[in-house]
Amino acid sequence: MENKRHSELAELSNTSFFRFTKNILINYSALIIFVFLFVFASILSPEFLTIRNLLNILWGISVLGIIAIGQTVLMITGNFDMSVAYIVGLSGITTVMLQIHGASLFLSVAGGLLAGIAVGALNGLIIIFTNANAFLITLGTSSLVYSINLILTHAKTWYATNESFLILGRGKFHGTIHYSVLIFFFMALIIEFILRNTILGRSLFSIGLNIKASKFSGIKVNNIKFGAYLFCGFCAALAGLVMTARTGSTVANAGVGLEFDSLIVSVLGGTSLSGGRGGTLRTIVGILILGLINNLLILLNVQYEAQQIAKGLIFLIVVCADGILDTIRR
Amino acid sequence: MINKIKQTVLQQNVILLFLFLLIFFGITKGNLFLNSRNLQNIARQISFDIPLGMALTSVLIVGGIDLSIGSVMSMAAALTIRFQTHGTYLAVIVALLFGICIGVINGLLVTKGKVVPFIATLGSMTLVKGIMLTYTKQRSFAGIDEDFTFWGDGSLFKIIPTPFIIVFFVALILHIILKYTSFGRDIYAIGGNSEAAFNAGINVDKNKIIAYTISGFLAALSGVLLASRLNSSSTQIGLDSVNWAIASAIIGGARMSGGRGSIFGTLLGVASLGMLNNGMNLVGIQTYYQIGIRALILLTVVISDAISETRVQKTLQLQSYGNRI
Amino acid sequence: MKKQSLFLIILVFCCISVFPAFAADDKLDICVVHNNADHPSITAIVQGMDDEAAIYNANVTYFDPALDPQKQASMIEDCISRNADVIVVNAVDPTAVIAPMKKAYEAGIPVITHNADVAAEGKQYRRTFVGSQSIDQGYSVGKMMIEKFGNKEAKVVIIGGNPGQTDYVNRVEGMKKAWAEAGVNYQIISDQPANWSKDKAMTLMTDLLTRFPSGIDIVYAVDDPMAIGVIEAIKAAGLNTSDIAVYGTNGNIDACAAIKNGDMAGTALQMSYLVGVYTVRAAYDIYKGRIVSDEILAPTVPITKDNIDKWYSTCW
Repeated sequence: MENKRHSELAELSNTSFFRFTKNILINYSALIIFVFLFVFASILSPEFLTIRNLLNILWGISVLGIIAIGQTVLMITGNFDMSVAYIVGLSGITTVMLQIHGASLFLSVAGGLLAGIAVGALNGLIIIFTNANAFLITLGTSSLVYSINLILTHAKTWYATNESFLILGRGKFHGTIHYSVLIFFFMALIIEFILRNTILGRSLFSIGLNIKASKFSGIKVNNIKFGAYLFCGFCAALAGLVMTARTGSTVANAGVGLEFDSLIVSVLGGTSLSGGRGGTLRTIVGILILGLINNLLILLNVQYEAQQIAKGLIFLIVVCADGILDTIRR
Repeated sequence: MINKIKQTVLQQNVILLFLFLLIFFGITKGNLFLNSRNLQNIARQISFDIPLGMALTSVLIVGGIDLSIGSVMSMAAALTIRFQTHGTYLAVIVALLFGICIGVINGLLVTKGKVVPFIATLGSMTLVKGIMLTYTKQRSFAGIDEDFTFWGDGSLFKIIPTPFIIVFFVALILHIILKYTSFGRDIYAIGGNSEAAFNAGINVDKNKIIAYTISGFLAALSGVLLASRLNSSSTQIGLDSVNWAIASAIIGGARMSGGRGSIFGTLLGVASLGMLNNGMNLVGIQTYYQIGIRALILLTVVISDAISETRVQKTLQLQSYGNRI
Repeated sequence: MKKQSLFLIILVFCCISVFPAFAADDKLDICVVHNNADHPSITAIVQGMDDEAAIYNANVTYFDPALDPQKQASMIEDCISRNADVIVVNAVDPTAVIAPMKKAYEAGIPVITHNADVAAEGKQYRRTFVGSQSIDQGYSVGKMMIEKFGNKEAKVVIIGGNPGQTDYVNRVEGMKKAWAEAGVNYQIISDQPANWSKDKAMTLMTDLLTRFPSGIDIVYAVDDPMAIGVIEAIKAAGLNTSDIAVYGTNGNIDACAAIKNGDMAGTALQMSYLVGVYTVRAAYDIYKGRIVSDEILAPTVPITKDNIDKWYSTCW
């Protein structure tokens, strides 16, 4: 029974290490565009190609990156979560409020993470048991969490009181790379490993490709989907903590807009919205593209309106290129 | 026969919601809620959301989505106001043409460009927003034609708000198109199963482009009416419109997977949300809680819809098994 | 068949119940339409209004359009149809709010604007404006800059809120007005929005520090949370906060603390709580038929290290 499942699933994704590397690079368009933009930026702006600037770009995208990891995993199963934006706020608020009431660092962090996981659980339970539309349900929970955030904060800014907590967002490893960046990269790599080399990982892809077939192959679809939602909520919560530690304070709408951004970077990197295709390494490329563009536009002092136009165009070009390359491949 | 049952079951939820809200607020805040002035206010307010809901309905039917409606709306409003110096009604035409253009572009991106609709319209949304900000130099502008405000701000026979009549007619036309023309039948078919539709000889690409064009047109229409109502354009319009437009369409019976949706349902969905907001304001619920209550009602409707849908599916499954025996 | 009969019933229902609402009692009924309830200054205004309303035994209801000008127009109309005694508006868009205010005026209901005023053409429709004009806030920040930098050639960076939003636009304009009056030669080297977000302001400032390695002299972040974000970015870059003068607006506690310890150069204190209090008082006066002045300005106090001790207790 086990062997049969193995061989069936093996056909759905790659197994050996060689194909592991090839799988990352299969999304050529995103990588090529990133390299192109990188070279382009280096030429256009002398300040771009400095270690300091590059590290700053990474620091700036670490919060969104952590959210995107959770979103990517969820997208692979064919779902997504629009409530991450306000989970960012909720986790920060929970942590800060616990700190204000004297809780220890550990307790406050645990509380913040649990808050996010709880929302993820809510999303997962509703969507799995009722088979309702993911967009609408998570839109609903998003507003619900926003409401809770507002009630808790009274629309005010709340400041973290625990000094050591701030290290999460501001601390650097031996004075070079920020811890938040390292957290992002390690998480992305570990998740990528799980996606490619474990049964859990292959099950995620399988669910995204064909739920019925997955059910018949004996995969516990509901459990895994639920786990994916929990994980996404966890990532959003962790990102919220990092953001709170970085800025030193939290507000009700701290994460507004990040839900769309996390979808964008995942798709930019090459994860499919309909499920069954993608990976966190690709998401790294996607978020590097976004971070690079934002950084370059500021370094070139481009007006805000023109920035929107530029981003819209680049975005469309990337996905068009992806679509066309896809057709050529077939 | 089975399809008719399915449709009614799905639509019943929005009808139930509509009636429930009407009766609830009618009883708790009777004289405030049901008085003609208040109902006029609700009617006028939802007139700007209805075209957006209908826009989403048309693209949802065909299995897509349109995130650019908010930006198109604000650009259309800006064009309507700023072009007034060249002629009020020329300005309106320019604004509507803009919406049609963006709609066509979205359609082409989705069909020929093979871009996923979510991403394509996300891109066009950002692009149009940039165009709007550039065009308006991030400022708001006042209109110069007082008479023009009749369309968004006036009332016919002193009772019925003009924009409501306009969008009602547009809704009627759209309803007729969807129900009684081959185009309407075709897009439902495409949404249901695009490959089967293609094999049946339907021009999938052309129909999709038309659906997105309709969406762009309706978004622009909403912008024109809004510019008329406020007698100004503002950079703050349309920032949050998309999510609730999608919600109204789906409450009204549309599905993100495509193949379903009804203008009448969307109308009721928009009206329900409008009544809900108005009623909550009348009851005096604080805004922090209003956001939560709105969310809970949305969740309730979506969940009950999903549950009844599963029940219908199971019934159909059992029936089909039964037929085979 | 079912749908049509339902529709008919509803239509009849509506036609039957056509009688106007009426204000039942002698209590002063104040209908307030915010611009956006999700902001600490609004929380402070509401606190001020509620506290003062208790003294006057007034009934205050709040509506929140969340920065949507159309919703604000509808809420103002809702206030009209509820026969409020006084309508208070915090304009989301100074031009878009003219039309509904005109309706209130024609319906005989007095309108007060607070915090954000209507555009010039609309002032005839409101009895008074309570608050501090955002242009004055920017003006006082501009003057603080002039006091500190005099006639030197300073390089200035602006970090703004939502693109095109009144407060952002007006504060920058006010600042420029102060400069023009004093005839100084400061140069704005960058003006980018950060959506009132501390996190975005941090990232933006980090990139701007990279962009302008030869130095930024002044940063005006148009609200205090963003100003604090700017300061964090400066610290994170390993620079000295005394090398760059950071100005904000609001008068948040954290900003005041930063001014006290020298990290921040100054802020324009908005006394939002007082704005709420004065609004209710003005509403009461109008309700009683008294004449009120065209503007009731809550003080905008420029706060620097020199006078921080005096004003510290009013920071919020």
